[in-house]
Amino acid sequence: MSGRAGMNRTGMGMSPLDAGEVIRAAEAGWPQVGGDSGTLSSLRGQYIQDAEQIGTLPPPTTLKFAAHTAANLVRGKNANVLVDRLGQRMAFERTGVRLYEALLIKLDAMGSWQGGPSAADVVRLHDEERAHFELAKTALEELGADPTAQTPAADVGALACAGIVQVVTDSRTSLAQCLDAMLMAELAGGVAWDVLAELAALLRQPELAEACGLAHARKTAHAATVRAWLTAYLWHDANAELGVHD
Amino acid sequence: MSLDLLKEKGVPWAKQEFTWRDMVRVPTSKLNDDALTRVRIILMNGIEAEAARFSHACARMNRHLQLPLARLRRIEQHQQALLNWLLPPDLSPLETTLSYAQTAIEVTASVAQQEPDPYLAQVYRFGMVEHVDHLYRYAALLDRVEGKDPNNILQSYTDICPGRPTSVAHRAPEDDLREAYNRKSAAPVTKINALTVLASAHQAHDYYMSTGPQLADPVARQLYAEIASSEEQHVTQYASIMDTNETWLEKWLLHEATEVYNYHSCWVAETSPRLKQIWQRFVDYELGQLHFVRGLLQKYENRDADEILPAVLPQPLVYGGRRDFMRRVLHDEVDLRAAGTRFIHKDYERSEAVATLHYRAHLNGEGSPSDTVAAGYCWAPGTELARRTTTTAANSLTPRDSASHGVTPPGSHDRPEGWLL
Repeated sequence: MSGRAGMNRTGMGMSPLDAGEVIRAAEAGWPQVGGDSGTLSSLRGQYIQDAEQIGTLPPPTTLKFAAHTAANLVRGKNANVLVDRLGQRMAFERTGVRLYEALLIKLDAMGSWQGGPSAADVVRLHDEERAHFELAKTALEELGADPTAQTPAADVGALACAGIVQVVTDSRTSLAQCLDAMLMAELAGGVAWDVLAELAALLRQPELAEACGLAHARKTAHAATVRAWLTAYLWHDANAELGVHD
Repeated sequence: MSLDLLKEKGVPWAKQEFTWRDMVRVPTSKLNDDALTRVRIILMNGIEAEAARFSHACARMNRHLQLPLARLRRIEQHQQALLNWLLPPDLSPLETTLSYAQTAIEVTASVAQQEPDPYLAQVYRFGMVEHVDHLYRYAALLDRVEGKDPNNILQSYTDICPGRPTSVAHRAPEDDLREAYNRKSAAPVTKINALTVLASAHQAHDYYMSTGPQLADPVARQLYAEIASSEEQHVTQYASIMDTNETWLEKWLLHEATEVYNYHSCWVAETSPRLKQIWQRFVDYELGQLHFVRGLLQKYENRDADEILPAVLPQPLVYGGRRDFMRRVLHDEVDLRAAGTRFIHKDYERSEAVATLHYRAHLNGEGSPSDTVAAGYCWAPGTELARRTTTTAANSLTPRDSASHGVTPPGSHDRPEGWLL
């Protein structure tokens, strides 16, 4: 149960004798350097000004993509944006497949609760995640882009997602804690597909826009499902009704 | 392109200075910079780490050298920071690990091909085959846990395939020591090769040891523990091929020469203008440091460096282009094992490496992480999940069997029509 008390030592309340001493020492010591955290911000700003971009897309490797890019350029549109975002979706959903695999293992080992996920539920979400991966991959191929390339948006997305992978694969985290992390992924994924649908429409890819819209709807449903599972857990936990391993 | 070690003076050590801003630069791009540039950064970080390690050990045993060691070590500390910080933060721990494994393969392959001593060349090939397997296992981990494509890091320079299985590479210590070169008769390139590969292996070991605990997945944690142990064996192996009769100052001079050689090789091979400038700067720094140590050798041992070093550096280390060599060695030597300082076919392990068999059986007694992670794994472009399935149902998980996927056999990936490359 997430609400169970134990020996968490991180708060000052757990150090009744030493806490006051630590406060007294900090208040007695003068800052070694005057100013405030603005100097930290200033240094960061300098590096941002000097920084190069994280990366770019690869050059067109197919005639098809070269033609598609050129056609959009003539209209004053940048088709690369679509490729970058599709690359991100593909990578994100691919990681999502592995996350649901890990979630299934956890469910199998820990069990569920009333209103919580069943194995069939998790398998369904896994399969839909995989379908989203396939959608993005196929879309890239149909545009003539290289689906094996890691786009800048995919790279940054993976960075953002790294913590979710750590949470879900940690053998110590509870199923509920994993659902917390998955909810972040599903919510972000839903918005991303919605944005992609709009982008596809702007770049005159109506079929892709429709497919992205369906993916957005499905991801929104995923988020609602995961939220419902988590809420059921928290309700049971708050009512001290849980006997499941946490 | 050759460099005259004894004539080129480089930059005097007292003028080798840094600021924090100088040291912490814009990192390289994971996406746009060449994977071999990353390999060079990793190798040179390892070379500098080895320099620091040796310097500290030497200082413990040579009071009269402590100040000169500390002076050069301080410079090399800052060189190392500048280099290592060129790795970008979007390179995750597991992706960095893949880069380390790629570095071990590429560098050991190049060294093996340029090593004139046939026995030592075999030592390097023996290790290389195990590095190949490490990369394969880490690739499987990245694919199956994070859903990422390992080739995004490797950029198709290095094959992703099994080598000598890590699970059978665990040996008792008596089967990890090799014959050493003779300091009086060995070619200078032999000594440089040994230090280069030792530095690479030791660095990989240290990285795997520090990264393993940062990963949450218990399978990842086990795999890192296993491969770090295998790397410890490599460090033991490569350290044993150096003549223990070399004096401390002789070894110090060889370290500096190895650094000059490797920075020069990096400069020759480098395609990034920004990195090329760094390599040139550090060639000049290492030349200055080499001549400083040369002076110490003269002062304390009354010896000139020319009895230890070649007048002209060997041909630069080659980066890339080792695929055919690696495949040939894999094919011919994957079934080699070790018994004492000799290499034997695996069929003879039972009679000639009994201690190793007992050691290995115990370690693997509760399962093998490397076998577990990569069970049935075959890399495909875009990861295992991108491999085309025969039926839609095969894409689905079955409960209690979450590792099963419907997969088509390897070799079923067609290049899309109209590829320009």
